[in-house]
Amino acid sequence: MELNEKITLRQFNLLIILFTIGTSILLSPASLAAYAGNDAWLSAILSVVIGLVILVFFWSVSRQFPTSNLVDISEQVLGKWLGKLAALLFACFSLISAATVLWVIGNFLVTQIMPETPMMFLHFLLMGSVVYGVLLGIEVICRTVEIFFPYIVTLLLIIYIFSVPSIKIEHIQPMLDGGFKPILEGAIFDTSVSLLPLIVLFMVFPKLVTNKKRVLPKVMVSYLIAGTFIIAITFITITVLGVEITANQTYPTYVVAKSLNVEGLIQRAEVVIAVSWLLTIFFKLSLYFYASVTVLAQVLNLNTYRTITVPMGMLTVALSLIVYPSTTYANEWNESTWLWFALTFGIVYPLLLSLIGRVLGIKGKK
Amino acid sequence: MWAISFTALLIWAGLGIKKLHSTGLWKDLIVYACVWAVAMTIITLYRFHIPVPNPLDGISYIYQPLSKLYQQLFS
Repeated sequence: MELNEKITLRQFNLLIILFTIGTSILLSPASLAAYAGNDAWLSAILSVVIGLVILVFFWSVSRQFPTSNLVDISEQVLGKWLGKLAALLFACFSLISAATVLWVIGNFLVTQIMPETPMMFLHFLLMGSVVYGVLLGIEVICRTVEIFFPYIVTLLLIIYIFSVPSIKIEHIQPMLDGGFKPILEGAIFDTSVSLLPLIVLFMVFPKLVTNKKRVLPKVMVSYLIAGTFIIAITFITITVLGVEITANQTYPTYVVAKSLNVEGLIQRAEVVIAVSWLLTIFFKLSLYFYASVTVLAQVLNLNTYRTITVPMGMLTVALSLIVYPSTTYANEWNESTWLWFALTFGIVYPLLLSLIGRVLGIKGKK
Repeated sequence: MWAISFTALLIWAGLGIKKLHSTGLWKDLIVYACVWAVAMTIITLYRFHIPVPNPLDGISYIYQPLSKLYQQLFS
């Protein structure tokens, strides 16, 4: 299977921003507050710093194999069958991640906005748009990113700016009260949620991206922009709601938006954050799904990935119904297992490919 | 409602199989049918409240030693 689509570096950078913001904008403040208490915002800053280091590592891998995607690299470095097996496991990672993201958005809609709508119906509806996007191709998804990016940024800025009057700095004092360990723990977890999944973009970059000049600074700026959004929302939720409420809420950002009241004039702005989150999560889900479908199609040498897109969409919906039986299970699984699952495919897998590639002197081809 | 949705999905799958059959893409046809069958099986079992093995339990089992070590490190 040959992927003949092309996207620009600018589009790829916008993808990075929206993919990183993705679920983090609504979920990170709660997990960071649970780990690091009133130092959650410091944890978010540390997470971005760790993320930048990992980003440089991703860039070095992409430079090592400048014309290959992840399946090509796997097959070149590990050999045909072992490479295919590793890529198949990666497809499972992407598929399960897509299913969990679909559950998260479905759970959010059912618990916060549409409590009487069956979750399965919402999952079908959301996945329908993602499947349609992937059927049209990565070029169309990227053009959609370009269209929606200004709206997402504007909607988020509305929440940020109008939250400023409610900020109480005493909520984050005293600083570093619990020591450095909880901050590091929170930062590691946040990195595993926001940055490590960026590995799925190796199905797009560097193979499908044109004009790859000065990639690293541009990608770093994109990641910093996304990181700033996450740091800002963590700071705002902690200072507006306080540590305990932030840590106990599943969606603290949504609660902040609910509590907005600007002179009695602007109230009930929570749907603003819901719309921006629906948009960012659509792109995150699309990229996970795109990666799982293209990896599977390339590994099995199919004519085109489009033939299996619809049944794979059905499979994602089916998995999303069973992956998390409850919110408690989801939280426990994320805390105990997700970090290792993400580390395996986000760090260990590309690191092994890079090291073996260097030892054997393999450079990208195709 | 369930019966109607299920029938519609089966017809949809059937149309896809027919199209792939006519183009002669056998490998694509086999993968298409297998993935669709797995998805429909899980959805049907879920609909009738029959327990389906959760893949995340398997993943947790694999990473259990590492997550325990990590928890000890940060406790």
